[in-house]
Amino acid sequence: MKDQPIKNVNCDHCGDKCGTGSVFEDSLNFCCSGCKTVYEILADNDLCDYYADGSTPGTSMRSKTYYDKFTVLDDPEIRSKFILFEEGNLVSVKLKLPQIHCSSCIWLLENLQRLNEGVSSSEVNFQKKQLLVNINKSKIDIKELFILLTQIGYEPLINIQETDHSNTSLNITLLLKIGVAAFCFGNIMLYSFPEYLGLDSKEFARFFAYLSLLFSIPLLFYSGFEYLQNAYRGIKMRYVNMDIPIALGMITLFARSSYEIISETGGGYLDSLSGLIFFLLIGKWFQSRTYKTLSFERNYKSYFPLSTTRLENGKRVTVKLDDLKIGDEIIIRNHELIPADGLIKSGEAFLDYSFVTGESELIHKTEKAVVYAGGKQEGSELAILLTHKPDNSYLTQLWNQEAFAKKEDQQINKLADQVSKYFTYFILTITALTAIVWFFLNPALIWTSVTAVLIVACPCALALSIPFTLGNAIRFLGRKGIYLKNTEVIEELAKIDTIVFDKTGTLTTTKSTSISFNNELITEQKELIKSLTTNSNHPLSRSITQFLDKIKTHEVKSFKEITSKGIQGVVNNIEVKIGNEAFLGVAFNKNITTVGVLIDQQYIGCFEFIPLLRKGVPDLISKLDALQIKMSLVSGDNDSMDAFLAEKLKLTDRKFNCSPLDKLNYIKELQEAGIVAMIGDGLNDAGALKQSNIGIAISDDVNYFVPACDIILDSDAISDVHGLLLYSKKCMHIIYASFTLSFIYNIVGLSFAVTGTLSPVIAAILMPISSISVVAFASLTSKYYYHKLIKH
Amino acid sequence: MSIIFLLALISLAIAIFFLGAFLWAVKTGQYEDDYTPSVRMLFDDSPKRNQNSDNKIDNLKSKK
Repeated sequence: MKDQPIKNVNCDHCGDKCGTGSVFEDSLNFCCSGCKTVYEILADNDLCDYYADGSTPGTSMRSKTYYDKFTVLDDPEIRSKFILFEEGNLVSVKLKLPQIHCSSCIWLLENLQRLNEGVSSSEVNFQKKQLLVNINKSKIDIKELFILLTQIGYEPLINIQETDHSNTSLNITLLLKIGVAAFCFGNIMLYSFPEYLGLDSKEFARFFAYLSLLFSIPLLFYSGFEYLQNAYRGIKMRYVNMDIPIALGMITLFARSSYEIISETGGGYLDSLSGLIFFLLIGKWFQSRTYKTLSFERNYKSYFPLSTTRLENGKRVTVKLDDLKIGDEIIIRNHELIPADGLIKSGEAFLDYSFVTGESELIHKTEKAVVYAGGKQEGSELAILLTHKPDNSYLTQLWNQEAFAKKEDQQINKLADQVSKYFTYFILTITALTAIVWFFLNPALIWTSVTAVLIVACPCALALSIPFTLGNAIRFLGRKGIYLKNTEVIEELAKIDTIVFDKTGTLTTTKSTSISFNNELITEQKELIKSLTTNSNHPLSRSITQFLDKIKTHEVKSFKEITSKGIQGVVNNIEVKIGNEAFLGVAFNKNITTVGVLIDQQYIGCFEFIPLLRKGVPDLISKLDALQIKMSLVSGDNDSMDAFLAEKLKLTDRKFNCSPLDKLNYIKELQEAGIVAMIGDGLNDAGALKQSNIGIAISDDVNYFVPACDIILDSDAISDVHGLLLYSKKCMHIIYASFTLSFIYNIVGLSFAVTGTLSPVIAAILMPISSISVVAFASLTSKYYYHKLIKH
Repeated sequence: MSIIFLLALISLAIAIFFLGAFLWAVKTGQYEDDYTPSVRMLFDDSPKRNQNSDNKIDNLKSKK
């Protein structure tokens, strides 16, 4: 150990614990020279306000080789993905920085020009976690910009598969439509007031009526065009949707009003038409406010690096993944992902496949062994001879399964369409009956009463109840860390009767295992153990080293590491052996991972590595059990934890050693009996998540790795799954109640309409009242149940 | 009473002006991020911006 005393302090830059290799300067403590460098950059440029500004300091800096991955930016095709426009030396770059999380982030990132003179300006979009930077190409190139950002703790996402341009343009069109509708609605209402209050002057009446008619044209054919379009599409496909009665109502309103105004027989119902379209659009906007910044549609490409290092005639060249060929030799460094199946040419592999298979223990492979894509190397450098291309590997073949070809928009708005089907037939029947009755009573009134029926029956309130209930629900759930892909997810959630859990990373946490020693250890023994483990790179040794924090180490003589057995050495003339049963010749293994310690031929005990169950998981399982929901566990891991899980959780159906494809098929099997939700986290669950009716992905950081799914669940929110199920059921009840409410309004309106006494004033009053009361009911009740069921 | 025609048209003109302002605001992306500006305006000493290059960028953007 170095003579420098280790203080129990946190790094003043990144907040990490200062351990070995700490640097002290300016009476400040840094955990690594990287953090010191960032501090110096900030200090030199007078940006130290950064540390005063927020409670969350920067992240630690990586080793030099870490930046090698940015060499992929030398490829113009990849570079162009980030460039908005380029002219002369000026380049405008758009980057996604998932690390943006607080106001000091905005402050630091918008002061980039003070860190590097090549940056002329930068602008943060906080909600999209985007940074727009304008740089001077002659002073800083894009690669340097990436490195600069990574150095200050904001590493831009390189493998952005998804572009969010379509979403934003969709939103903009909707906003424009709402703006036009609001303008027309407001003015038409103003022009209608004189008539409500009894206007005598013919001249004014005609003037206002024509103005209203003028405004109703953009209103109907711009703002409301989508409804007409959808209805037309529905009729063409012989499929009754909610838009048909709406469009019917709109056209009738417009046609009758135009006729009345032009023939000067009345004022028309343009006020109702404008209100209808305006409210509908507001509902649509409310429903569309989902989590656009989160990506629910990722495949393996989002996880893989964009580039890798290839050996070409002894030289290392960074190449794009697409350019890899069979027979290429590639270099995998520590913590890098193997992009394609291959054979180890040189080096020793300790592969972490937890991401792919759920298996949490490292797999050790030596030369000439086969390695599969998706494994992460935990150790020294590795040379691999490729036997497959990246898109043809064992793992990536999963994406060729039919589940991934499933069309998304098949089941959209099921409930609304079912209800509107009956509703439409009901309305058409009433209309026909009205026409027949008036034909016998007074044929002159057929036209008036039939149009009145169609106007009143327009299911505005009906159409609003779903977006407002579910839109509200989505927003509330987001506050708790439950992010839904869209509102249809709630409809499906309410029907769930089976839940399948993944083990690693879902029921248990991914990283932290709790380490304990099953015996008393005196400081001297701790020193002996740590002296040995610091010399080994094996992950278990490293965990033990971390566990024995603040313990001195001594020099080790005749150190030996025997792969997949253990380590031994002589410290202070005492022989120490650490390893498994076979290595030590002592029996201690239980159902969990253990490492025994032998000091001076004496067995003193073993370290136990117990995976931690996520907080609230046992409670959640028993609550779901009480709801009579069938539950299963499918794990890619071996069954060494089976006894532990059986003891802690009320899960009777447990499956182990499942491949990603097994998981997918198991879900398919369960779907024959019910509606299945899958809760998982890694790539190994991607197939199951996609196949299930509702795929729920758990993530410690929702902005990072999440496979394609319907719900992204913040890892802290897993205990809320029970509340989520109850809440989704309640939401459906709220919608049914709103339907009933709006139906009552329709019946009242119809009673005026069929008798031919619907005046514009009654229509203008009834329409907004029904809409507003339904909206208020839906919003208030959905809020009430959220507080009751989820927010405790 | 004919003054009412004039008043109605004037009010209409004002309303159209505001509609135009709204459409402009949407199209220039002012609704894309409604959080960051609220934080940005609270930063104490705003950094010295390179006025020339900023203007240049704005010109380029309008050309696009």
